[in-house]
Amino acid sequence: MTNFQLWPLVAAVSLASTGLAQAGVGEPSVWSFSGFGTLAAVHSSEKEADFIGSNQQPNGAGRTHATSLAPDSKLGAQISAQFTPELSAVLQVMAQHQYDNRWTPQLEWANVQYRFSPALRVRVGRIVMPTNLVSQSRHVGYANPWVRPPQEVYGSNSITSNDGIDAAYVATFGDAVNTLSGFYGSGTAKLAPATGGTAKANPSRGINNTLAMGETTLRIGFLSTKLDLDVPHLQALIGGFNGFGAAASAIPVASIQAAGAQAYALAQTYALQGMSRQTLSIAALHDTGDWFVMGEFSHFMGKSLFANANYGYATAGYRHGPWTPYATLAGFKTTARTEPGIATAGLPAQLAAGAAQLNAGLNTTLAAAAAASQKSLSLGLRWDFMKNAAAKLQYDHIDLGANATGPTTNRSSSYRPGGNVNLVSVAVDFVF
Amino acid sequence: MKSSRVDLAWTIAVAALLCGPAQAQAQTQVAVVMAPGSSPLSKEQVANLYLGRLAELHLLDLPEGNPTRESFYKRATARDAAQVKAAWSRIVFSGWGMPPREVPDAAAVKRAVAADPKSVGYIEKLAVDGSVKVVLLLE
Repeated sequence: MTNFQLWPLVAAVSLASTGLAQAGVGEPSVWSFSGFGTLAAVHSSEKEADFIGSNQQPNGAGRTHATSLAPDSKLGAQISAQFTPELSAVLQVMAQHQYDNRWTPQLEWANVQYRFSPALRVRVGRIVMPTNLVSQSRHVGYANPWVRPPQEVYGSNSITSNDGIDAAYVATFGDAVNTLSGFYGSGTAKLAPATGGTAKANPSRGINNTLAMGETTLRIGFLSTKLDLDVPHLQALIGGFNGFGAAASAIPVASIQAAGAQAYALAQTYALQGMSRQTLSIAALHDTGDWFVMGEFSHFMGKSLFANANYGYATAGYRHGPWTPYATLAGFKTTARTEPGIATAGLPAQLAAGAAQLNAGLNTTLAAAAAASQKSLSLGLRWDFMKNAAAKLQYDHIDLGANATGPTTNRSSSYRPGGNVNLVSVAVDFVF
Repeated sequence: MKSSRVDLAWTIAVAALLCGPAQAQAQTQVAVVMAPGSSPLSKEQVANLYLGRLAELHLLDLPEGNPTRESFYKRATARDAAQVKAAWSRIVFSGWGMPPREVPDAAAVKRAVAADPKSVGYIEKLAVDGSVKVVLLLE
């Protein structure tokens, strides 16, 4: 992702406020400028770790400061251009607290769209991956009921951007509107400081179908990615298996050679290049205008170092004038897997110890990936107190599964995984 | 005496806050209009267009705060101004489309739809004349 200095964002915001980007009335302008933002404070009950809003943040609320503006505050600015009725382009940058402790604006969207017909549109460039129902607008607090989208579903991917192509085909059946869309490209992300390194999705591809029928919207999506992980401690582990394989294969004893072959095979199975990841997601939303219910469920097919996971949430809300109270139940459940590893029986003591160490390292990594279960209950209130702005108050009770650390980082030596975290958040979302 | 007046003032203030904007609009009909010769539209089709689900027509809006605009959205989509803004924000910031073009008044709506057969707008029924066709009447 390209790093920008802060000044283009400030310049763009100044441009908007002087009205230079506004169209003359009665004539559509080619250019339009818009933006969104959230100013939010969150207080966490967990004193030995920091609650974070995105899994790439290096610190947050709880340990560093009891209450913090960092996890959820953000500012986005967008320039849209409609060159002809068919050809348009979008550029969006967004600033939030990120992996290097700065707020450098990042390029979220940068693409050119061509509308072949009212039914078919194609985009080339950078898009945000449509992994789940509101993935592409998860940062736009004003568009969403919650202070933050349920992290059990929306927090699980580090790579959220795709550089490539996407297309959508819209068909109507009576009053129902069906949109079939797909994307293909690649994306990268810097991983959380605790893990270190980067992840690259190449290719990243997905297909999804959304059916909007009056008050009800249904969506199904399938995402398939090949991931390359450039993470030092994992590379050391896989390197260890390859090293063992090389050493064992050089010794002309059948049982040792067999162990060597096993080590090579394990290095292949758990290789950090071309790791296959697949997710199937469904979503449903029913919104009458007066009340709404929405829910999503995803199944992540765990392979290699990734644990199998099922996750989802359900939210309900009721609107009374400018007030929308809402409640959410969410859960994330992983299935643990163990790997027998290299058979140590019949190996000389030194090799057996080496193999055992590698096996332990592998199983620790698998266990860590699986120690991510949690459930949560959120209660909140949204108040649309003025045009283009909404205030929110939200309470979250997160019940972490065994050995799970949840959405935290910067854990002290006294930190105990599992247990509960209580959050209180106050946010103001706005669009301009 | 003083405390009960203060209590009353608080109660009225809280009630006013909870009741939202005053429902003082007259029950005038809102007409969705297009160029003469256009086919009628159903309420669901108008809702799909004005919530950004369908991009087949060029959409026109009256200015924000205009009572006809508020009536139109309430009757066609069952949503208030904030909910409509939230729906369009999702679309705009996903790069999928642009919200309706704002024009100042009914006369401007009529000029715009008469000039472009792929345009649609809404005005008070009382403002309808021969220059436009009513494709949907919202009570």
